[in-house]
Amino acid sequence: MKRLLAFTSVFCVLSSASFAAEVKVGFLLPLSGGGAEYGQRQLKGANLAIQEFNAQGTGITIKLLMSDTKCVPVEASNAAERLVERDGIDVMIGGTCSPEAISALRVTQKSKIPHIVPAAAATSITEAGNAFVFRIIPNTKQIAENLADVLADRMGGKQLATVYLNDDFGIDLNTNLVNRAQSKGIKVVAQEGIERTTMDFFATVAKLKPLNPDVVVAPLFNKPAAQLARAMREQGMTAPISDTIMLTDEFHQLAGPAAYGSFQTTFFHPSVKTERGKAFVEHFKANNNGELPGNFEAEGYDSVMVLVDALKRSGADKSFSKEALTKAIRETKALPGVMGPITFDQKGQVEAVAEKFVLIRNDNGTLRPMD
Amino acid sequence: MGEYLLTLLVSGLVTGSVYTVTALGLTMVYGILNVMNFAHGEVFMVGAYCGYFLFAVLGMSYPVAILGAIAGAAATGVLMEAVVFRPLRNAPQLSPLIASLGVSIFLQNMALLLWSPTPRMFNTPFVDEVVRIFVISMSMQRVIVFIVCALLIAALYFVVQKTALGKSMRAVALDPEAAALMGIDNRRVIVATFAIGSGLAGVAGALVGPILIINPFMGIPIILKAFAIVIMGGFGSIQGTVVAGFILGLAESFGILIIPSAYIDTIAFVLLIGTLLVRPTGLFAERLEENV
Repeated sequence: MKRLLAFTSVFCVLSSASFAAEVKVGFLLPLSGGGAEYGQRQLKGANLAIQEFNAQGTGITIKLLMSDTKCVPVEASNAAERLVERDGIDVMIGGTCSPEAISALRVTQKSKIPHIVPAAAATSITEAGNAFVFRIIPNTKQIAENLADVLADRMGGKQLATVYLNDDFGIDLNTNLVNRAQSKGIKVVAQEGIERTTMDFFATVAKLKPLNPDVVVAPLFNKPAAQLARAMREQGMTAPISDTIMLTDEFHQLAGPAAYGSFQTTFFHPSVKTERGKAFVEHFKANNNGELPGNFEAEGYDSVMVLVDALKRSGADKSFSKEALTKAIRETKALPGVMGPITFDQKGQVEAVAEKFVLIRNDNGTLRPMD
Repeated sequence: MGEYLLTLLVSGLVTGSVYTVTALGLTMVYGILNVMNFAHGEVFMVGAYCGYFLFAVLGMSYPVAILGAIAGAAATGVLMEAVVFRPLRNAPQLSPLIASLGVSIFLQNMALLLWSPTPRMFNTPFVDEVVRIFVISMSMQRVIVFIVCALLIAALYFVVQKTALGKSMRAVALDPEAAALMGIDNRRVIVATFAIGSGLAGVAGALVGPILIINPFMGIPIILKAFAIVIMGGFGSIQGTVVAGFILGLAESFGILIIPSAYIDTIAFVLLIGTLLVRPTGLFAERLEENV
């Protein structure tokens, strides 16, 4: 019986290899809960990339198996466990909120499955000695230092207040931002950590207001950030909100006039200048009823592109072992991603960080890049 | 500095009024059944969703939406009483308590299924209408929250102290058997208590919904606060609940002066433990002999 099973499984592997190879890709993303918008956006980008690749007729098909993490660590590790053990995925893509990414990475690292992180930024993700992690965006330290430089050099921020999430990402970002800002001569007048459940910022704003910050940095989910912006307006604070990668169109819609003047750094804006980026915007619009792609769509798209590139370079025999795929992804060299060229360093962190940032500002309701 | 402290004072009064109205519903049910109804927070959540759907989706006026929220929440409470608490009337005291936890989990998951976990913004025109009171400014919504809650607290006090229904409620709370012997229909009084208590939670939900963000788990923090308030206030005492509710609201608001925003939620439990250590019967002990 055992022999028969072994024979059957060998036969299955052989037969699938000789006809059309299917690569199973696990995709962990928040599709519900406070971070749902981020997941839905990434999914649109990833689907576009997969659709493009499957249409090329390379004899390889990418099959996406997605799982909702709700940005909750336990959900993420359970989903990762299921995808690895039950579905036998070849590659994992996923990680939006840092705590969930960290817990899912424990599962993929144990099973030696290459794991592409599209959006989770906590510095520790690529610093923990995991040989199977590849992140396509700058880490939190780089994001925070870039933002501090922007505040000091371009936005004329003299007094800074921060309102950050009390989690791996938020604390990491806040610490690095505050250190860099202080070294650049910015005075940090307040640092308020909040919980993900905090929904009313009235008292927090009452505390910030007399401290007169020029800018309030608020790396929060869209809805809480909108609540903060509105509470600031309610109490007559005029300092703009500044953020990094977390705010999307939803924030600007919800906050309305309270978001005017807010600015943020991001990795992608539809006004992108590169040919690769322009082509992506056009193709995305054509496939999504004219909707414009943003940061998260680009992250979903580029994550799949990293995989596609690796598939093309590895597996001449189309067996796509975990080892071969991991090696191929690590060797990614100057891949023209829509967010800029992708090359991974030894730790799996994307290189050439400075070029990746775009600064955008809400100009009376319209988001515009600032040059 | 004066402006800052005044803002915190007003903020504390607004929060405190919401806590108080929610906790009053909890304390009334406790007074009558001796059961801490942990599903009370979910009634608050149902009220918020009812208000949201009536106002934002069906386009009714805000007062109508609030009345709808009261009706929806009261119906939820009455149904809960009929399905869960009535069959357990003569069961050991722990059974209805655990059943209420079950109802709480059930209602959260029902909301997840029906309304999805994605948070919603419940925007009334009053949220963006800023009013100035002396030197501080705040949204009209917060003013409405405070005024309506204050009126509700006064109305409830009147009902409990001055009306026949209130008298029967107090009688049933004191001694159900004696009350029944005096011709009071206990069942009717219990149903009325659930309806009023749940209606209060529902109206609180529909009032603060526009200040918070609506989601299926929004009842969890509020029930923890209400629970602390009921115990601080003295298990079933209306006056105690009002005092404790405002103390907690103000303590949380002024607490931000000394502790970071992230740890504000601990204040309720510090006060709770403090009260239990100093005055185990609560601030206003209603029935001393039972609780010691």
